[in-house]
Amino acid sequence: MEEKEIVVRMQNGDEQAFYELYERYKDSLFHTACLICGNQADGEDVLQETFVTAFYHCRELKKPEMWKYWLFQIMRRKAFEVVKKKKREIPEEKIIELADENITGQSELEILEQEERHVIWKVIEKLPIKQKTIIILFYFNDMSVTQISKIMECSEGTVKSRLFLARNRLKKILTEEIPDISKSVV
Amino acid sequence: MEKIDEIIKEELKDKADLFNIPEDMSERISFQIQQEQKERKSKMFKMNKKKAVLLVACVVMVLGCASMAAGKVVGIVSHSSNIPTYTQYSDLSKAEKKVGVTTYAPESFTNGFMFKGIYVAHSERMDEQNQVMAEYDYLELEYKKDNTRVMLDVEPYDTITGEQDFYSKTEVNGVNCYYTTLENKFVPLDYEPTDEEKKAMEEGRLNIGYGTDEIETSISMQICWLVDGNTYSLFYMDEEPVLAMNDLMKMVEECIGK
Repeated sequence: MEEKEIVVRMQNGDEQAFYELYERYKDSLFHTACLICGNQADGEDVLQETFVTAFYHCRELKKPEMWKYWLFQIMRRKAFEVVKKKKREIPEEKIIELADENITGQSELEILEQEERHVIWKVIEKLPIKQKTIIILFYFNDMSVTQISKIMECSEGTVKSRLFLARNRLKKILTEEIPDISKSVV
Repeated sequence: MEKIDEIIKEELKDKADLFNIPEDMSERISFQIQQEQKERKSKMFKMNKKKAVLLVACVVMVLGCASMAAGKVVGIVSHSSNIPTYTQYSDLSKAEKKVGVTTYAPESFTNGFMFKGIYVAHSERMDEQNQVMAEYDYLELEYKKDNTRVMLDVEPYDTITGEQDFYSKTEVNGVNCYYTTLENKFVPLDYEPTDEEKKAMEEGRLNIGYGTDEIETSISMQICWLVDGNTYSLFYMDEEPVLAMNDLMKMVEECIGK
């Protein structure tokens, strides 16, 4: 069944349709929310609030085919609220600690690349929240500039500009922090 | 795609993989939806019921605003059942004894409003730290004529002193009575009041209640007076009022003169 039809069923009060849509989007929304918020607990809260809000306001969605962007828009707003409210530091140490557990048995190049990626993550974390979210939507969710502009509720030009700035910043930091590797990969 | 793009992509994927969606997430969502549905139904039911308990919300609003200004009680939480505790007028003394008040409530008013029931309600008055400053049971007496309801509340607590700013004042049989007319607007949860509405709320002319699907409006009138430290409040609310403040004032005269 086409997604649009499921959305219409949900709008007509079909709870099963709501849970079908939940199953379709829970993973991408949850992981995106965790990346924006920087931790599991807030990601869980954002996911929960997103679907509860969607449940109660789904009839306000005039174009069912826009469901995905509408849902991501809700998630993005909820995540921004959480981040702004808590201004919480990311439990980065925990993430790195977990990642380090897998280092054994890797080649030098792999370890170096992993180190490089940690640097990347640190920089992404410190980006202004709008730039960070655009980076996540673009690279993690494989969304186009047009799609991102709908979710971010801004122009495509603004998305392009923020993406350009964030990418350049990441490139610059990577070159400074790990020059040897950077030379070969950037 | 340049190498840096690949690195960013891989990094984000690695990070995301560290987060696992809890198995009970759909149950959590389902539970929250059910809870909110119950609350919404309860709100809607109360509105339909009396417009009976909504009256409490309006009283809360008026007194709550005044209290904010005074820097004392900043919140009032009231609960009452939708089922009358007593339905016989002969049980009035029993109800009065239970709550510790004398209501001076007549069985009927000369304008035709008849006693219908007594609700024993509960009120908590909170300070700025959300601490309960006072907690007590009170009585709500329901009177009805055709489809029109009027409620007489009697609380064993002085909710008037220091809160009179939002009321006009008159005297009935030697007792000071404070009265006000309020516009009520019931709105969906995501409704944002206009600046004009915010001003009207600050001035105690407008009460906004959240939880309806569509915007509904009504007019409410209230007269309060104090006898022996107990607060008496006659309340009426309707979308298209059939009673005027003068009609209510005559009913108050009958209560005070009883």
